[in-house]
Amino acid sequence: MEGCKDIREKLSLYIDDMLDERESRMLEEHIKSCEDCRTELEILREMVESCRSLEEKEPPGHLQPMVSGALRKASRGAAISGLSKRWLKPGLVSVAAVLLLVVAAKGIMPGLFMGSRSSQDMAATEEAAPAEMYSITADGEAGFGMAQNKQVADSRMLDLEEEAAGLAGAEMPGVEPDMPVDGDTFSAAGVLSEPGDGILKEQDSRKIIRNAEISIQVEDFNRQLEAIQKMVDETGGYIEGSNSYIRKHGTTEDDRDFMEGNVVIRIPSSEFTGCLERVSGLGKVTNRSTDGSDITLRYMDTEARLKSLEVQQDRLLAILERATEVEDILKIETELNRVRSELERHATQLRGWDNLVQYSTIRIFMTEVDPKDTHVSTLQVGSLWDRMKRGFIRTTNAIMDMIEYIIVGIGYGLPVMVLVGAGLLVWWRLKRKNMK
Amino acid sequence: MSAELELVGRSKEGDLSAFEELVVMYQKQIYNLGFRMMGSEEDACDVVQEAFLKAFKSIKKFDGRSSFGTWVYRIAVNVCIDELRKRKKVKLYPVAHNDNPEDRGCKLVIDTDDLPEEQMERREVKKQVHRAISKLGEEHRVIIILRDIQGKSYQEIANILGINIGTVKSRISRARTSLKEELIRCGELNIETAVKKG
Repeated sequence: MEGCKDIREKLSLYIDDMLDERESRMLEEHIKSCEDCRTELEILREMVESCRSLEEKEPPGHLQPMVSGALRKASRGAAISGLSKRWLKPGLVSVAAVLLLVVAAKGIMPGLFMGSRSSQDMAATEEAAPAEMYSITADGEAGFGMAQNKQVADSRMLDLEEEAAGLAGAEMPGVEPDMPVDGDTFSAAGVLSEPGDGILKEQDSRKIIRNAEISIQVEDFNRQLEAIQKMVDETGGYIEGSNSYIRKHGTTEDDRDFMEGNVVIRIPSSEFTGCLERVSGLGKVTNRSTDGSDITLRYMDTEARLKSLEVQQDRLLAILERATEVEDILKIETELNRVRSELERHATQLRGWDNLVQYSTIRIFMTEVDPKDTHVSTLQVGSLWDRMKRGFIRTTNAIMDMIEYIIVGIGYGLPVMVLVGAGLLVWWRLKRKNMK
Repeated sequence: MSAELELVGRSKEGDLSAFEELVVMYQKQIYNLGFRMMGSEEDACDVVQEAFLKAFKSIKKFDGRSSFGTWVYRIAVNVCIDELRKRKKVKLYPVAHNDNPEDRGCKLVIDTDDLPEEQMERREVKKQVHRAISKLGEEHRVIIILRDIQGKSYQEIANILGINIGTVKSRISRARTSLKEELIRCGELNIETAVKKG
């Protein structure tokens, strides 16, 4: 039998028919005898009835339009923000991707530099270019002969005139006044013989100045340098000059310095081709050019000129011996000096040419590169940590740079953002006003 | 029910007109909930607007585990409770607008005879009940409204409030007791009449 307290707790449930059969019956039993509980039940029942009788109110007419309006506004707002969200996400993603790429490129690219051949090529050709320019100036020197030749020709014309004027009666066999400047016939060259004849016999080969430029990539700079020296010695040539330097200090992979430099060698012209081939074999040829200047005609001209001057000199000497008057002696001596100095000039020119012709020039540019086959040595493995460190530092620096860029970019963009923000604020305020 | 499901489906895709039809289906109930909870028509309208707006904004997240009505009800209940709590802080007591000084000395007369005077008394009683309900705490108020005014089943109430049935049972019981006490406090409960029936 349950007490009133328990019964009271269950009255509410009883009213709602939420008690099971057993509990209901028990309650009904109890109520029959318990007046208080019965009263309580009645009160509760009445109360619930009153509540139930409360009418369901009809919402006012303006409610639905109000709700509709609010919904429409919301859907419009959602559409706009949805759109911008649609662009925002891909926008952010693409921006992030770009940032990542740039940072990665900065960090990785320099590291790749060591292994890539193409960048080496670029470096080599960059170095080769100045070397080439160097050769141009050298050619200029060789071609200086041509310029000189013109002067020679001009001065020769003057000399001839002077001669004709100053020294009457002096015969100059073989020196024709109308000697052609360009010298398209060998008659000019041939002092004593007829044109187009076997003067060529005298100078069997033509006078050709040979030059070569060659750029090679080598694995061991010093070793190849020694090889070149050896070759030069063997062939009877000499090293005119050399210059070498460290082009890349060991900061990456192998902790190695990479050398680079020029060597200018002079070798007998007969050995020219052979030596060039040998040098080509010392490394990987990245650039190669040869040229030959044929100075035969100029040479002949100058030679002829020299000879005529010599003759002139002899004549003057002869005249000098017969001279008695001081005045005459002085005149002759003056003339003699002039002739001698010019003679000297020509001789020097010829000597220079002789050297150039006899010894060909090869300009070698060598650059040291990484050996192609990477030997797995303990040294490399040891440098792994260093490489990691460097890579880390490099990327960190790249990120720092990126952050700097961004901050500066914010500085640039701030005025714009302020303007846009102000505009939005005004628009938003207006919106609110309209809503109210 | 399937029509409702279809409307819900379309609403999820952003079909505003479909959602508006759902609004029409439930606005009266929600309005009444709001009215009984907040005590005024104006507040009731605000509740309705707020509740449906919120529902519209998060319709995509509605998973269909409960019915749409239950879901909206839950939103509306929360809107009411939040607003009431806010007002409590500002010390605003929700008072029925149809409050006149005469009713202050409220008298609950319980009578089942259907005489004209009694009809008038009934109206009085309703007013008193309405006032008494508005004096209840939010939790009890809600459950009285849902159960005794709107006649929701225990299960429905459990779904709306997100509590289990056991809690619903005890809460209803306690709420009714509170209401009874409020009514007694507010006026005189004519026990004699009740005893008469006995």
